[in-house]
Amino acid sequence: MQTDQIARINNNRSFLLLTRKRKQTKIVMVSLTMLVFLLIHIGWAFFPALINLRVPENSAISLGVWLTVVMILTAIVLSGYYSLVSGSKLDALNRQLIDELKHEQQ
Amino acid sequence: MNNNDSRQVTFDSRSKLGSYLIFIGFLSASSLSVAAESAPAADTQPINLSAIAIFAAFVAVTMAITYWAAKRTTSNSDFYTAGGGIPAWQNGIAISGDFLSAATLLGITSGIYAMGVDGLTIIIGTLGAWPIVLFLVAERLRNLGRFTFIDVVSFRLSAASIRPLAAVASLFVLIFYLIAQLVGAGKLIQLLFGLDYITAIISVSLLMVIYVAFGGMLAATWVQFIKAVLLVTGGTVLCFLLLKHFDFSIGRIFTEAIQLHPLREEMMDAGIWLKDPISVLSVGVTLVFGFIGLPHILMRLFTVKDAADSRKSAFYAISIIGYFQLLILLIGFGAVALIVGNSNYHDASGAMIGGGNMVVLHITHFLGGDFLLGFIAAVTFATILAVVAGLTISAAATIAHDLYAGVIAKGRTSERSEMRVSRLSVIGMGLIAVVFGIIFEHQNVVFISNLAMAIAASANAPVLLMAMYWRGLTTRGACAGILVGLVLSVLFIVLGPQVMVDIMGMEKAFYPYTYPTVVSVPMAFLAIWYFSKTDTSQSAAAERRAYDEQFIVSETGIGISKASSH
Repeated sequence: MQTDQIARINNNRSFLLLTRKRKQTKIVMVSLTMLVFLLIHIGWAFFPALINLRVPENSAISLGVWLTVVMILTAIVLSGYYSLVSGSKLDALNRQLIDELKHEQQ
Repeated sequence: MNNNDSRQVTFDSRSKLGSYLIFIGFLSASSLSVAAESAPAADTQPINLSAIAIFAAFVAVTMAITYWAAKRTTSNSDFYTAGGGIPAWQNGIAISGDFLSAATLLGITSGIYAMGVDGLTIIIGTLGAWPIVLFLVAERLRNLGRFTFIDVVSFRLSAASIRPLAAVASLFVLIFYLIAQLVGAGKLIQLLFGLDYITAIISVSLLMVIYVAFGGMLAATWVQFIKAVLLVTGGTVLCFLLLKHFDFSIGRIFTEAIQLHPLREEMMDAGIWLKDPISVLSVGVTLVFGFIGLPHILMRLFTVKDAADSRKSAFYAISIIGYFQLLILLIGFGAVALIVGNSNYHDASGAMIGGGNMVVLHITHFLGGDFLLGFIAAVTFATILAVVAGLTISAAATIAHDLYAGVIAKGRTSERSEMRVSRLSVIGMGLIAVVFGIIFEHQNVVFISNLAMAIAASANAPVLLMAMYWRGLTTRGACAGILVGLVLSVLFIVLGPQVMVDIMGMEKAFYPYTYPTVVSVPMAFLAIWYFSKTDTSQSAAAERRAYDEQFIVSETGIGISKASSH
């Protein structure tokens, strides 16, 4: 890629919009995943009594089991949203950008 | 059948130790060997004709696919990445097939069976790691690389310096993982099919070489795809039968489990396996960074046409892996409720027949009889084949593409000669697998599989993430990070309890934790940052400037090669 081409794309408004939106999406998604993951891990590491709570009370199932299910569902839901919903919007922006760049070249 | 009255709530000490070791080697079938070693020869399961028939059908179908794939594998791109023409949904299923090893099916259920709720931390770690791979790695990796993750790391850095070092770290991971899988596989097949250990090792290696050398990534993908479908189908049927047995009451499964388990109520409490906070955190760090750095899993993300498909295939994989882990959770606790003390599955001394890893097979037999047992046993064999095929093709790509074409021939090589080297590498990997499989037959290889995961987390993941996201990275920083990650992970495993206590018989280990990653991963990041920041060379300045181009390619996919269709 030529230096002027790199500079042109870097200043392209569609490119800036695409990268800003993608960055925001990634930050939100990683933060949500890490929030759930770290809360569970910190609980497991430093507050085992919390993990050992029975939910519902007097049942055999501890909170640790439910938190595992929460982690699994969080992973599936967030990755589904990222992949199919926000990803599709970003793909459309990307296609638009590539079309723009092709027109500019012509 | 109700054997509750006759149940003896006793755990044989060997079986318990075996299960503990299995658990710390959770990511590899290597751990299976521990239990198998402790099991006497008489524990070999009786010949199960349905298992042999189902497995024979699997081999016949996959061989036919290999023949078909071989005719379509004419270029390097076909060989390494199936020409980038695998549909996202199929690749997603194949990734789950590559990832869900025998250890997931047998190891995690055995972990829950022996250690209770602490076994779930592996599931939490796995499902915490995969979305990070999707959000941070999948798309950029596909846009920046061709065949291996080392392509991505060396995109704007000096390939001559990075490739040999990164290839060595990558090969360490792949070969250790392969040896661990094969030793476990040999023991498992010995138990399940009554085959001699060496025959088992040679059979698996031979099939692995045939699939990969002739059919390349296309054949490996289909093997992994079919295996994943069989595994998930088998797990679903097993779980349905389990729920039916307990009148679809999940609460009853857990209630009966704590009544029968030797730990009673404590089996639902944290801290049985992971006794201190650092141990919990080290499992989390190992899993999150380990998965980001597994070369054979990353390589699968190159087999689709573009970044969007790479992203979608990671999502499909996460959904299947998540669903399967939910099944494993229920099966693990269900096994406690049905198998503990059941005299049909324990010998006179109270030890589990076949060793601690047979939990899932015993519950399969309890719920589904000989036919379902045969099905799951055959799927377990297929699982091992699929995983070793993925490891082998990744190792072949590292040797032929990164080392031979990139370093030795310095890019001046024909496609034909690189392909020849790839195929020779596959044969070489087969020989290494057989030789080391035999050497390690009577060894505790748990540390090898943990070492593979630790190196992936410490040497591969930090440099890959920094290469993709940090403008300031230089060749010097990347090399330092790989070296520090590699050396520290090997050093702390050797100085840790798995080698010093379990193998050398010392009373106490110098480094008290199973996984070195709480130290080695931050140190690798620190080394990358420090040695890049202090690099004032002209080449470093050029590498930082080149980030602009890399950023455009990684965000847009401009200039990536077109896929072929299959």
